[in-house]
Amino acid sequence: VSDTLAEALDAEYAATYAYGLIGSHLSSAQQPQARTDLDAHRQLRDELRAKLSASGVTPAPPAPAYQPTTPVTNARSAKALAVQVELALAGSWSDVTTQTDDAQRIWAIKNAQACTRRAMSWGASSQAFPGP
Amino acid sequence: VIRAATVAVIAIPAVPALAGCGSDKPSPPNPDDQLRSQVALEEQALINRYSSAIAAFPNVANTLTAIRDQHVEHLKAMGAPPINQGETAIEGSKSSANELASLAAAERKASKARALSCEAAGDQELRRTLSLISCSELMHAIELAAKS
Repeated sequence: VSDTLAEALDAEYAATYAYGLIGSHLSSAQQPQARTDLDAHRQLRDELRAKLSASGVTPAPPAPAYQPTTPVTNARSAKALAVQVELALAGSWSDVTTQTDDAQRIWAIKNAQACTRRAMSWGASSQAFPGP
Repeated sequence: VIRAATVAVIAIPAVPALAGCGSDKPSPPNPDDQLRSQVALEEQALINRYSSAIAAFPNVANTLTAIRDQHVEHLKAMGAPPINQGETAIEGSKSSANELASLAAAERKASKARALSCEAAGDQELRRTLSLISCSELMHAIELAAKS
């Protein structure tokens, strides 16, 4: 039951790390959006850690560093990474909907949709089944 | 995307065919099959609506065709084949911008309906698929609203 939560936590760790990298390549006009999104992922990371702890599972710590699969060298590649991160998370949160707990399922759908909105705000194109 | 341990990879599982299809003996409907049938009906209705809009507004046909194709994928994921039901007339006074706004509203409604279906579904894979469809339809709503 906690596997999907642990995987979502890993994806949120990666997102939190990625937004630090993304923000460093954006213009000052785009920084507030990146900061807002980073804060959202920090909150989700903390909520996931709390839920795992509450279910008796010790949350894994984040990796020391996370490597983007494509280099981030400018604002364009930074925004592309933000899209990829958010779409991957829409998938991770959709995986969490497989949980049997009703409240957790509703929470997961809401978070999958929030990731989708953020992906679109960074320039994602529509997909039949959002994912990286 | 970002690699450390494992970033979830989305696998869209095959879902069972709709209840009764290809079977002589009708099996008693279960709630998940009814849910699949309902979502399939709604996806087919959206496909028909897009077909009409594509015929009426060739200037936005590329956008609409891409989205319609994604609804066909949703329909297939519910175990139902798409049916070409032809086009229905669109109000003569409507502009393409109005039609895009109207479709955006329909997509937003569909996304909410899919989220509710996801909450109600019993099967884990069905829930995951409905969550992804809900996200996809939210993407459509945002894209269409931006273009309207």
